[in-house]
Amino acid sequence: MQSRPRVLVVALDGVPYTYVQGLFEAGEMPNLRAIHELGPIAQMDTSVPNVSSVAWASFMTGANPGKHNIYGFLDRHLGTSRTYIPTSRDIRAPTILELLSAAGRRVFSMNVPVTYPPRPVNGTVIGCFLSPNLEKASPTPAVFEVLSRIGYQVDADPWRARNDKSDFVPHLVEVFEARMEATRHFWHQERWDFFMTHIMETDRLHHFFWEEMERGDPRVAPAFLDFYRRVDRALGEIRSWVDDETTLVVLSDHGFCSIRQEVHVNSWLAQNGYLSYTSGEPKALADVAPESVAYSLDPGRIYLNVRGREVNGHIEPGAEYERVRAELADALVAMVDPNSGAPMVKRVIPREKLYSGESFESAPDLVMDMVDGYDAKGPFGRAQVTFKGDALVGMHTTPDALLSVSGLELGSTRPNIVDVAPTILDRLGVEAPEEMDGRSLATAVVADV
Amino acid sequence: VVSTDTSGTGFAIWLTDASGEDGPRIAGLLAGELAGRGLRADVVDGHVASAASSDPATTDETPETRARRIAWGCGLLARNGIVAIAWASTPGRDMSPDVRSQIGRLVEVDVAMAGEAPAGQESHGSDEPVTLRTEPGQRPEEAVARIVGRLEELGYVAGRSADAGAAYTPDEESEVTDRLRDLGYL
Repeated sequence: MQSRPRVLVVALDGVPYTYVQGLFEAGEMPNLRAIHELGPIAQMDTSVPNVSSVAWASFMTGANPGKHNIYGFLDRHLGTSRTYIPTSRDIRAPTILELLSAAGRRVFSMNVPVTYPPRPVNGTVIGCFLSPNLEKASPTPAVFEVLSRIGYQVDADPWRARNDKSDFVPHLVEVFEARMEATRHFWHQERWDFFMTHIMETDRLHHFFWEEMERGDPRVAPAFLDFYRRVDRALGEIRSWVDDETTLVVLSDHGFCSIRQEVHVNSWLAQNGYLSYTSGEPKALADVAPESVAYSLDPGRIYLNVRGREVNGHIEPGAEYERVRAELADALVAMVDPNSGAPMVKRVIPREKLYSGESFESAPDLVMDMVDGYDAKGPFGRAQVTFKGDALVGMHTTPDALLSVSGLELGSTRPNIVDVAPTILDRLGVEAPEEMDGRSLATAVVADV
Repeated sequence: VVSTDTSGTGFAIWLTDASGEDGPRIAGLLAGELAGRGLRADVVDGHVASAASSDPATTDETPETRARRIAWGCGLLARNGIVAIAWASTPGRDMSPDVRSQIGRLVEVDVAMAGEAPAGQESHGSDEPVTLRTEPGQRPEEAVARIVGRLEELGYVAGRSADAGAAYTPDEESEVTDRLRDLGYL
């Protein structure tokens, strides 16, 4: 029987390229190093904003948010003050799962962000951590039964970390091992051309323990490294499954660093006269007063109160919009840490520099690119602009994702996460739609040579 | 005609100032969106109204006569629990009060939209029509999203999360929101 090419993708959420390089230098992660020898790991740029929903939607569609319509974990219905959690139903560009299905390829995907609710494909999609429960993450009762038997969980419970950190690493281990068990099960049971499993537990480990790891806290650092060793053993097992016809892709979606301060952007807007509320205790977008100039959604997305687009918009599109936006961008980029006087914002990017496509209308007007360590947050009504807690201690960074494609010498190529889908389609002999922003890295490497 | 509406879910959406293809395109998309939320929705165009009305169309009918005929069809459907969607190329201000009263629960959508909304037009008391507006140059899909969003806010249709076909029930959405908040994503 003639075999045909297949692609296996292992997603390591939030694993930084630079951290992995450090582990290699320390002699750690032998299995990831072996994967690196099959396909050199490159540092990869990711989406803006760099949150997982946006990054993985960009991965799946090979397109920018202006095309796929996912700008964050929270968005608003245009012309209203109602907010919603974007899900797979809000993705407006075809995903790699759908493109491969349409080309007659069989797909399997587990836990990839923004795949809830599972959309119809030729194959099996198990929803991501946005699934409210395991039953709804499962595309069929039979899959639900298997996952239940394994003890699979859609996500680790972050409340446990907020409540008692000492309990959280064992919980992460439990969730990770069940995910690996499910990966084994479906690897052997499913028939597929494209198989993807997504490890979210690395991201959760980083959010709650990155700072302690960096400073070598003896209560945390060894467990942190042990978790990575556990992930590495799993990578070794997965690598052993790969045959000559299968391309192995390993990638992450962003880097990580320690949080110096969380930055409540709406509090800054309110203190500087750009935002006011109709409620004494504002909690939601609906509490924003009509005369407000702008508001923010996580992470650092700034929306001007534009007439015709926002529910009580008054800023006229055109000259007034440009003037107000430029003034606000100048003010935002000058934000400093009130505790130290250090700059908190690298740059403030206008939306037309980042986004294009049919969902451009929904895009934030400005996006804040924060200095590493300053984590832009979106709650309304917080008293202080900056805050440092001891629960969440790690934040995402943009230019430090990683990518390895077996058999592909990425060399000096600097990939972007939108390049991965066209690269996979290329490997599977399926033409990428012209609308994709990314390009096949196989082509790029040949061009570089 | 005997009204059988016991659900109170019926109302009419009248797209005014809808030139060219805008009216039928937005009406069709709107009907699909509302049907996807479990509502019975239908588009009332001149042909449908003419076929159903006891006052059939003539070639020389005036816009006022045509509006009255479509209004009759919309009112009939609305009273029977259906969301009736119609469009007209004329501005909403040209619709006479007795045409409006023929319909009952009415949401007017000014598709062309120009200028500020006159004071009071957003009122939605039981006897007053609601006026919504879209933006010039908006794509029909965007206009529909905007219209449906406002209908949700005004209580004419249930929010997406309350639909059987929605991604989340309200409880589920609340649970996922809490999880995202605990992760620092909100």
